[in-house]
Amino acid sequence: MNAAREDDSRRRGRAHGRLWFLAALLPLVLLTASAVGAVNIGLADLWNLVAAPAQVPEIVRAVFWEIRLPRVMLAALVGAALALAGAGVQGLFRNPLADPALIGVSAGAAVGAVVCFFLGWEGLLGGWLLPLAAFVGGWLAVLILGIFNAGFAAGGTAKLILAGVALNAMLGSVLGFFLFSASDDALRSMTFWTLGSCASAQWPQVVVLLIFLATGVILLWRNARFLDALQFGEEQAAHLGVSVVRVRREIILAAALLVGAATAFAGTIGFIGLVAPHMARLLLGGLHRLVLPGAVLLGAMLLVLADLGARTLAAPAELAVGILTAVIGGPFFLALLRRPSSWST
Amino acid sequence: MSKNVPSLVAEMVTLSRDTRRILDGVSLAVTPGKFLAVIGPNGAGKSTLLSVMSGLWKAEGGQVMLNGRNISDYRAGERARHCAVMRQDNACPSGVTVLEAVELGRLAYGPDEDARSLAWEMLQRMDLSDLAARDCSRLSGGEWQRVAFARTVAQISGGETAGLLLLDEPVSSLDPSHQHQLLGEARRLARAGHGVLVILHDLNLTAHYADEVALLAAGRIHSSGPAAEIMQPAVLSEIYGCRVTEIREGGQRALVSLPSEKTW
Repeated sequence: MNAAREDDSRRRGRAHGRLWFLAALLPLVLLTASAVGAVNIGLADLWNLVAAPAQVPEIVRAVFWEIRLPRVMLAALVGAALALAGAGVQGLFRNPLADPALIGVSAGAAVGAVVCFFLGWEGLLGGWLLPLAAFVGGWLAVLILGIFNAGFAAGGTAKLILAGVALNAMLGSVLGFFLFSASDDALRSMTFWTLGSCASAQWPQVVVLLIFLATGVILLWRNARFLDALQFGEEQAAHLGVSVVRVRREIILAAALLVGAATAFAGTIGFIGLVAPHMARLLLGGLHRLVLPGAVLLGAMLLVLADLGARTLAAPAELAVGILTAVIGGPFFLALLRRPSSWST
Repeated sequence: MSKNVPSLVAEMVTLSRDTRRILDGVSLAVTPGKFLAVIGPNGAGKSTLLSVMSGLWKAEGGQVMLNGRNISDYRAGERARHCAVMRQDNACPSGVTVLEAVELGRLAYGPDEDARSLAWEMLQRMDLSDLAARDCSRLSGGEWQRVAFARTVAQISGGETAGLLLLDEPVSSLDPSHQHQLLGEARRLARAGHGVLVILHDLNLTAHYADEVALLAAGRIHSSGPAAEIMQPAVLSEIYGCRVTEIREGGQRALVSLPSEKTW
């Protein structure tokens, strides 16, 4: 008995230790990614940027503060937002294949953005019309899905997933139509956007995204224990005291806010929302008070590293970051499938 | 232990799905101190009755009263503090240990209480301490059923107040010895003042453990009352469509089912 108790507290200690390790790793990854690029910034300069800015060449200062850091921060926040939404949606649907994309928000956002490009409006409102259109598009998709599922109250999650698949297919064909009818120039920017990129990062976007991420964190954190209970099935969770409909609405609202904002600024980036929560579960176990922060940290690091690859691997050309996340995420996902019973249904 | 007297009463409950009437004027009361078994053939409406009586589904006609108040007026959390349910389709999670699963039984209570100590106590009582750190997805079907029972009991334990325990076929995956352990524990909880309702298929176990039996057939209560009255071989044979006979062994009575003559 006492041995079992000690075993248990050791196990819990290990999981918390790993979470703290991830938390300590994130600043290192952020710093490294901020230092590496077309203009490499040495360790001494990196220190002096904060300690003694006058000693750093002006060009390095400009690159770091105006280009590198906002981009790295945007990548981190987008990755964190996608991973957090993924962790919530996977927990809600009790399905390892669930991706925030399932509720149609990314496809809707892509349609919104592509329409914007198609009309040549991407530069309007000082460049803010594009993310706005993407965000609105994402929300319209979630709204349509909600209407067909009686306000996410009835029908259970299986029906919701099927409706999401149908909605995604329809939005995909709308997207295809616009890509098909676009001019060559517009097509290039559309394609780049639909594959995802953090290249247009600026501080105001970082601030906006931070607000959305904070909102999503609050919404998901207060439902963390309920997500744990939902793993017993929706009806059983209701018997344990979970208001299933309210929790479902809040998770979907959070996912839509997170993915809508992330997609608005960085395009559609696949696999982070799928892979980061899985990695968090493998490292930390299945309780959402560990999975949610773990997914945030892992998602941030994964996308920062993928973005680092996107801007350095083919330099001076720039790869779309979505290509890299899929290249890393695809094999990882296949490897997960080989693991026996990594998730019971 | 109990200052309050828990009560759960279904009054003329009716429910239809599509055009089929699943429950047709069912009245049933869970009395504290008594082990009430609900038996009946497949499709008789037992699990549906449990879903209605636990407030998960709303009855179309009639009503369900929990401690004197209509159960649909309760919020999920408050209801869960009075009434613990173990469903048949209770899914086994992955990445969650046995101890953590039992702790989740205390979800409806505040974060302040020591859910972990209570969970340990439950595991000890159910003889599950050795499995505490095991991932639930690595349990056998029977082990998971015992863990789910421990979680359900945890939900109404630990306080001064007595609660209601509704179990849907809690022993379907258990070996005989664990069937007796689990039902014995359920009866002990009834004796301690809790209200206990158990859906069972095993007639012998029902005859042995139940104080009261409600026999449900085609959505109606066919008969209900003290177990000794209801568990009559002749009645059961007719309802289930197979032969039920009685064996007496050293002062104990056992009910055994045999194939109906026709199948021979």
